[in-house]
Amino acid sequence: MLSHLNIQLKILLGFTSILLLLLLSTVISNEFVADVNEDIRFLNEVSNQLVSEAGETAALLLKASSELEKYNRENNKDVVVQIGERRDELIKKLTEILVKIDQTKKHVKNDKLNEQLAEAQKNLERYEGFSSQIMFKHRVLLETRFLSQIQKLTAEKDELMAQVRMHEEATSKNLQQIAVIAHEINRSAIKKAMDTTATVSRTMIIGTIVSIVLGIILAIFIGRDLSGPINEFSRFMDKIGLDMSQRLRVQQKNEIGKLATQFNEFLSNLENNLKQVFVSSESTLKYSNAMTGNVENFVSQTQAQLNELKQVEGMLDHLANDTQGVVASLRDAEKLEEVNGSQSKVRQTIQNMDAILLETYKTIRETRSSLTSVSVVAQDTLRETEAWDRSVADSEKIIADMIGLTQKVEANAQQMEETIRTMKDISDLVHVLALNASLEGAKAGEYGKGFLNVADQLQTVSKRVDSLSAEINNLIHDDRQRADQVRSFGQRLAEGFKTSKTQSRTAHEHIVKLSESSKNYTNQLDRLSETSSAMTNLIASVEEWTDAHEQHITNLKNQLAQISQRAFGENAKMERTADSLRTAIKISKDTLVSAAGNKDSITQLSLSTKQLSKLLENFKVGKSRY
Amino acid sequence: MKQFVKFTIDGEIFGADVFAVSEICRDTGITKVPNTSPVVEGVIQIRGKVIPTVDLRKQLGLSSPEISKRRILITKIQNRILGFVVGEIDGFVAVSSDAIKPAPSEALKLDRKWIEARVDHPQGTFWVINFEAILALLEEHHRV
Repeated sequence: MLSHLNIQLKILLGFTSILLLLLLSTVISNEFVADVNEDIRFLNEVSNQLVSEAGETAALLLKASSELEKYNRENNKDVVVQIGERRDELIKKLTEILVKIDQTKKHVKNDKLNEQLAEAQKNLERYEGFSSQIMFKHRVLLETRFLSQIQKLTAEKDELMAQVRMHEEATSKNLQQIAVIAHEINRSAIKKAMDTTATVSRTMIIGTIVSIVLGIILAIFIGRDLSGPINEFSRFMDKIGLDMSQRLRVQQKNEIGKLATQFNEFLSNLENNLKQVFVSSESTLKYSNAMTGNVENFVSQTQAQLNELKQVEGMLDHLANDTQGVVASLRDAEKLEEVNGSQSKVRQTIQNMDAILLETYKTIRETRSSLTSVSVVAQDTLRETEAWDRSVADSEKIIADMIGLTQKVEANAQQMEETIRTMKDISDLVHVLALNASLEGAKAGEYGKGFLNVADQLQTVSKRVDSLSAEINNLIHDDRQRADQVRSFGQRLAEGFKTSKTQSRTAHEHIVKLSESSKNYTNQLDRLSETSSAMTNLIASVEEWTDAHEQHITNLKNQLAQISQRAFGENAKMERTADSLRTAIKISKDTLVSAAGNKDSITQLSLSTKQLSKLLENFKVGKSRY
Repeated sequence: MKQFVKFTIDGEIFGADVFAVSEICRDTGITKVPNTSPVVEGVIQIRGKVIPTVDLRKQLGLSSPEISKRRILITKIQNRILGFVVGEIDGFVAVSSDAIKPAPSEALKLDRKWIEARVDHPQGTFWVINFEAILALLEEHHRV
């Protein structure tokens, strides 16, 4: 079901479900936290109230008992009303505490709290009971007039008061216990809040992990769904190189499925077209082959006919010649022997020529190979001269830089000389200044002695400057000379490079000429080789001819006697037969020429068909490669 | 004791009284002035003042190549300021009065009238120039 869905839809569905899951977990946690928070807030409030109420009640109790004691001591009538009020107040407080505890019960089960409360109530009831007894005894005491009775009642009252005190203390203790328990509830509420927070964060983590795992599973699922069909498609492409009949299985109805269907259609079209081309080309080839065979048969038959006719003609010609020259031949029968001798000589010569020709072939081959090596060497030399030219150009550039540097040195030297001139001028000025100082010193006589010292110092300075300038001048001179030497050396080098460049160019030209002439020589050798092979052929035909001639002579000798008798009578008939034969030969030759033409065109056809076949083969090969 | 400035012209050493010389100058170029006495070589400018200058070499009749290192002595004689072109300054000497002797005429290849005296000094003998005589000649020319 899933594979039929659109891929985009699938991805959308997956991510939406993950997002929904995340949202759900967040909502649940939030709800949970809100609930717990509400509980805790409530508990906190109630327990705080409980603590304050208990405190207040205890304070009230203390106040009530102290008032009771006061009353017991003073026997004041007005206090009775106050004690009644206090009692009512106490009962009200206790009822409030009871209500609070009931509220707490909904959230926290605390038996200890109830127990304490029950005890407190019981103690309070007793307290009440004793206090009402005291009040009763007091009223009785107020009315009696008997001393003994008064003493007894007072003792009983004191005893009751002790009881009241005891129960008051017990109730206080109970109330304290209630406050302590309320504190504990508060603390446990805080602890529960912390636990809840931990639980919520755990829930969140679990929810996130579940979402991630679900996302990974979904990614794997979608990836497999996507890459599976594509891999299958690629495997199929490898497989169909040789076999066109295969088809891609379509399993899916999404974009990939559509692509596979379209590809299958394309393949069936291609297959049909190729099949048609193959069939038509094969039939063409078969037909043209058959035609070629037919024409060849025809040509060979015609050739055979022509040959027979020619033989017959030749025989007839020979016969005529023989008949005419029979007498002469008979006379010259002994000369045939001489002819035989000369023929063997001819044979010898031919054999010699054959040997010479073989030698010539061999020489040609050797010369060719050496020419090839010459050409290779020439190419290498050319490359080397070119590299040499390049390095020469580099060196020339370096030399030009060198000369430029020396010119810079020269310029610097000139500048230095200018500076030294200025220096000398200044020194001259100082010298004159010194002289004038001396002059004034001399004029001043005894007083001018100090001044004279200054003048002497100035003089020394001027002299030092002069000698320094002279030294610097010498140095500059040396530098200049060196720069000049470097420059002239650079110029000499540059000239040398120029000469070597022209020489290398000349060498280059010579090598080019050499390789050209070697090429010409090779061509000439080829022609010579052709000529000698033609000559070999010629010699072979001469040999054949010689053989035939020999045979003919032998035949002639044998036939001479028989033929000579019949010759004369048959002569005229033979002439006629020869004429008709000639005509037949002519017709046959024409036929042969036209047959040859036919053959040529058929051969052309066959060649084209073969090329077509080859192209198709190539196509097949190419396809298999693909 | 008398003090002299010593200077050289053509290898010959001469002296001039320091009180006659007011300044020693470099030769920064003498400007030729037309229509003046032939004794005057030209004028030089020192601190804005134009001073007529006489070439002592010519006056003493010494024919020698151009002096390579020339100095000009600025003198003040009879309230007249004059420049004299001389050679290199040799230094200053103090001479006692008895070392100054009148110039003997016979041993002198120079014109006697320009020489005032001869001074024999351990560092060398020199001739004292008579600037008054030269001034007189100049004024004579002026009058002419």
